[in-house]
Amino acid sequence: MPLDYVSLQGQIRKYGESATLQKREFEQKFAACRDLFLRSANDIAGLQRLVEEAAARNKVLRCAAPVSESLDTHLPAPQAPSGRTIVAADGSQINPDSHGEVLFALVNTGIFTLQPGSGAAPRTETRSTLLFDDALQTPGGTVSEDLIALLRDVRERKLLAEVTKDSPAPVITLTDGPLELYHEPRTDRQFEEYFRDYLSALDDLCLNRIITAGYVDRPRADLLVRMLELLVPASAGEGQTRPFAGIPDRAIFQTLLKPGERSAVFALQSSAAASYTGNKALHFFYINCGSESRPALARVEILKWIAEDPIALNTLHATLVEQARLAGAAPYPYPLLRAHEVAVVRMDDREEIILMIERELAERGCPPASQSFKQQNKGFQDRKRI
Amino acid sequence: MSAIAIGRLLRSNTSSCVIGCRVNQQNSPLFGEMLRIPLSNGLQIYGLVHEINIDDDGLVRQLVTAPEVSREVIEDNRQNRNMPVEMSVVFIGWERDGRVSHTRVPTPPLSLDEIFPCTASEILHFLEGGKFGYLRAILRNSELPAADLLTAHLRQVAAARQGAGADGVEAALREVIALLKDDYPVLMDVLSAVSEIQ
Repeated sequence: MPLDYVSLQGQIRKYGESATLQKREFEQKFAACRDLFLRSANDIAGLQRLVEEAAARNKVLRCAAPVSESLDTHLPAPQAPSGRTIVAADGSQINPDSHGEVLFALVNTGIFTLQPGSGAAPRTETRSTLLFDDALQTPGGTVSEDLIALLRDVRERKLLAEVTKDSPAPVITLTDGPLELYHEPRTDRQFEEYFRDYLSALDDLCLNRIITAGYVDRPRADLLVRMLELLVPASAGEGQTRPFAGIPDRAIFQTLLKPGERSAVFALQSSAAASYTGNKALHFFYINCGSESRPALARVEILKWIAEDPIALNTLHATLVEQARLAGAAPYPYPLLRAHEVAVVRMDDREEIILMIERELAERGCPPASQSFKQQNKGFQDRKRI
Repeated sequence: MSAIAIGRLLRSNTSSCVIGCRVNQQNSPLFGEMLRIPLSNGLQIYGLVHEINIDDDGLVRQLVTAPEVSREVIEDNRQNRNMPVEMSVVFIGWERDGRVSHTRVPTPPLSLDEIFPCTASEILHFLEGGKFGYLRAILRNSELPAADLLTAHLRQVAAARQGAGADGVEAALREVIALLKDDYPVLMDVLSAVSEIQ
């Protein structure tokens, strides 16, 4: 018996009871939050000042800040311009396994290029990088999964900058997830090095006026809600209970955005976002790429220059709605869906790479090690994914 | 001009094989069409297409729910995604050093061997190498749609022969009647289907 189902039955009942209570609490909080949202929708200058003052007091403040549009802005998707090129990138990785036969890591990046309206087949491309020896070592020991993930994100961005540099405008690049790599600043030397590369790739994209966006499906962020909390006096100080805790921004925008509409653009206030300077400053908006019966809320992170350029912003807005609708019953930008499909590393790919490395080592008179005893004993059941 | 391969071999045995080719190819073989598979050891295998499958997957099932599917998405799924058209081919004979045999092939083709459509002269060359002995294998294989397959094949044979000023398919039909003389229902099925050939 893999699980203690008897004991779980009671725990699941408690989960259900708790969900009912939370739903009631959520509804009360949400009504107050939405009321505050609507009342302060046009006080852009006041809210900007409030965020500035709070950020001066609280260095780790993380919230939205209005730019120029009222909070309750909801704009329909404009007409998509012709002659666009959409380039999506996604990455996947094999993390080093100290119990495996050979020690290596792999970063795989998939690029998908589509020209809407051309009738031509999109282009797909995969770039794989094997990491071994020194590339796997840090002063603290073997490289962490976090660092490999960062390297994967940096590769995605650098590849996008590389493959789009000579493309005629307008070019839109899409990645899955936020443009902001992590919420807390990292101090490790290698992290800093990779992060510099990431920022440099973003600079190149800015320079070439490439419309760059990070698409966050079913966002859990509460950046706008945290900004609204600044309006509630009792919660303004550190250590205070949050009056709207548990309410995500999407709960507000779900009631506001009709299919195809986007919200106002907000600036991102956070300590980590401070590294994204000048034209790279991080901004975001919400978008509903779904239908009346099936809303599909997403948060879209963009750079400052796009937020300030109505043509670029409209191009991105129209493209996201158009491309998400191509995916049918589960609206999500088609290029991202395909970039993921191109990039993903499966269990059998991993086994094939291990075999190739083992063969190479054996031919050179360096027979590889076997799996650790722990791994051998855990490997009796088939694994389907990494 | 060298022939253009229409696909590559996925799996095989000494009586049949499955080949994969891209969906959009203009020269995709038709049901009943005769194909040849040259092997590296000098052998050439001949076969007939008896089934054509186009598989779906999760993404394709999702895309059909979209109100419109753009041309680029269609081309992407046809050209870039790993979904070849699978064609089942029954072997009808083989050739070595110019000598044709209408018997079971001595060795199956290997994975990724290339497959070519037969030209009219190649069909005639194959037919001249025997006396329709392969019809027995087709008619006695209960898993094949014998009547339809034979009709499609004989239509191609008739076109090749007429193009060369030769007789039609009478010799083949005589062989079919001889093979099915004790199986009247199947014989009538086959003759009824074959009667469609002009």
